[in-house]
Amino acid sequence: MHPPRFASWPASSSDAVHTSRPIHQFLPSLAPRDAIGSHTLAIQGALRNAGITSEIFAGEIHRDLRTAARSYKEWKSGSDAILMYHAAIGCSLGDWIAQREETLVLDYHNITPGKYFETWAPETGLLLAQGRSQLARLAPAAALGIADSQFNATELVDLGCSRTAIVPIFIDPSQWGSVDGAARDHLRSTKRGTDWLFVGRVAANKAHHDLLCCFAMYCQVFDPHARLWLVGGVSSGEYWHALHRLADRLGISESVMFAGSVTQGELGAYFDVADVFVCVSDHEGFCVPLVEAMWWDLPVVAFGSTAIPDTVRDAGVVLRDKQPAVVAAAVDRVLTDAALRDELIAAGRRRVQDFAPARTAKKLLSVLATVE
Amino acid sequence: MSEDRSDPAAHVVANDGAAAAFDADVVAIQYRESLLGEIERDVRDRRRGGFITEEFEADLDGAWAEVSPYGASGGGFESVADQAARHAIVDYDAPILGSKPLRLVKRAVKLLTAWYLIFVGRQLVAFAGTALRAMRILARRVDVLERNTPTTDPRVQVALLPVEHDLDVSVWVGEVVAAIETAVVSGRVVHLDCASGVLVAALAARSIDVYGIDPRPDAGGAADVHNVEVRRDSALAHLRKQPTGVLRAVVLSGCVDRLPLGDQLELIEASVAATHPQGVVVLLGSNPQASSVQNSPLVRDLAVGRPLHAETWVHLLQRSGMFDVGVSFAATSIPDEIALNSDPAMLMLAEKVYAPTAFCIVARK
Repeated sequence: MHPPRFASWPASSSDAVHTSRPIHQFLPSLAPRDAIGSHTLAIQGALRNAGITSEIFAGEIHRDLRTAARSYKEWKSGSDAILMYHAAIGCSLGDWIAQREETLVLDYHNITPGKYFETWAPETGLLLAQGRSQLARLAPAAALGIADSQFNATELVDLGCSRTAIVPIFIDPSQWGSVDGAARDHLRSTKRGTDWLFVGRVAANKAHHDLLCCFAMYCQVFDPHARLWLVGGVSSGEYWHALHRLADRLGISESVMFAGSVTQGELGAYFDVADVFVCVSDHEGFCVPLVEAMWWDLPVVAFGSTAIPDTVRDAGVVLRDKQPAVVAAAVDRVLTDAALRDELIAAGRRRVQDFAPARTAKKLLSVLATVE
Repeated sequence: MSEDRSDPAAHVVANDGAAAAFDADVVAIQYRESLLGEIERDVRDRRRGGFITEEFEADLDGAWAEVSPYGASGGGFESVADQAARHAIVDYDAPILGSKPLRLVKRAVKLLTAWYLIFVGRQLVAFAGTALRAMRILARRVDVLERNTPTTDPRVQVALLPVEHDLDVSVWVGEVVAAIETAVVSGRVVHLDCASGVLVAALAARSIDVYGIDPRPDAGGAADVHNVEVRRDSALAHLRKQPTGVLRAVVLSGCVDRLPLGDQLELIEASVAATHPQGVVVLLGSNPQASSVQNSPLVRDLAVGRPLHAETWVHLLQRSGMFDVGVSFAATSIPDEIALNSDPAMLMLAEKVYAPTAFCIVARK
């Protein structure tokens, strides 16, 4: 297990000058083991720790978190309260928040363009389009737009948000150290060559289909015994079936494992045993698994789309295109050039420090202090 | 992000230790550029050595389109219609999974409501089937329209012109190099519709990190001689795949004179989007006034679009947010005996008859 690499968490009240106004958070859905849900809970912790009154209101609340949040319909208007809305997907809460008169702060984690779902899950595509439409109405009215990447901040500015600040998403590394021993032993005992890993929901914007092609190229040119592990729940069954057909068509179905949704310990086993983390996503608002890979000392090879270059910086090989030949050659270079691999791992450890929760809390409090 | 709208607090955060980090950033960017260059050279060498074959790459390109029948790869109407037809069938057999009591309740509800669900479901299937049939009739009529509208007929769009019929862009090397050198930013330069690749080779010879794009199988001959990368792809398709602001410069030629108007507009928008915030777009086009002189009969007959005037391109670039848009025209080729004529009317007429055949437009982002 990795030693702890972060400073103490959460931030103390002395970390930053802060507002005394209550800051309440609103989000479409609060669920456990969800990036935005965890982020929201972490923000509440940071605010309360700094002495700021903070509650969570959601459109839908998972039964495990019913004590942590209330329905937004229970909101009682408070004249000096700041409402922080986490824009994620279209919902009635988005329309409701647009009609509020309180000071609005947007926390934007990006909304995947609906086009990626039109084919595979049209109903999701419509909700995402609705979310973007609501965002376009909210952005000009927000007193501050908080974005977790430059890419997201640029989108807010383009939508008319007058003030933006970049604050990373809260990442909780205390969950990352656990490894399921049995899963790890199984993965190790069956290892035949290089093991690729990608973690992310099986959705078209993550471009698993391109990743399969890159992997097929790698098997053909560099290592016929390589394996590819795809970890993550399924957003679209149609897409998932098509990926299986593609793996069959490319003759790599024996080497590709669709692991689906896994426990934290199993995820740790994948990170621990894999040789390289490869991401060729077309659209990412931040991509937490990239940081997770860095934390596990796993070298990263990624296609530089959307927010990925900003998340990775110099802690990975960020490619300018994702032709299968280029991605495969980049992976081979990372795995055969020991000096490069060591540099990437060292840079990854430095980059992970940028997301230390205490540092994120300090940044968040300082930008919230500027809200008038 | 424009500076006047950026947040002071974020600015302070962004500048934490900025001075100290500056040198390290520059070194990191240079290192990254050289690493990517090495990886791309490795790929080129493996292609040349036959370890990566064109057939296998083409097979990978086509595989996804084969197995994703629902229009995911920009597929046609038929594949989407097939998906609609599949979803039009209502499944009456509702699942009854759950705990035992719940399963019993579900089973009872299912049995009690089956007659009603089937009654409603049949009407829905009938409606969906009729709507689908209407869509297919409409699609057939659109096919007929397309066949009779040259700019939309897919057969005309794929009637690729031999590269030797393209505009001679070698005369613009000086202007293109000067424009690119003003963009002191990271990122590669792409020449879209690079034809033989003569300009790509010339830029590479000046240590510019450049590659070419051209869909034609006979493209890239001149570039190959100098081991400069030319990929088979259409200009628009390639631009659509680029992340925002990733390219140092986009050089356009060929396609700018031939694409239909809608694609010409998208070409500009996509080029501007793919260009780095401090990058440049360079457009090498034929002057419509001299199109009959400059372009071969093949180009004039088969091109689905027509060359636009420099003024129009300037307008489109400015509308897309580009600044400092400048135009250089190729020298006129008025014969000496006319040029030396002192009759102003004759000279004015000659300037119209012998208008510059081409122009180079440079625009900064």
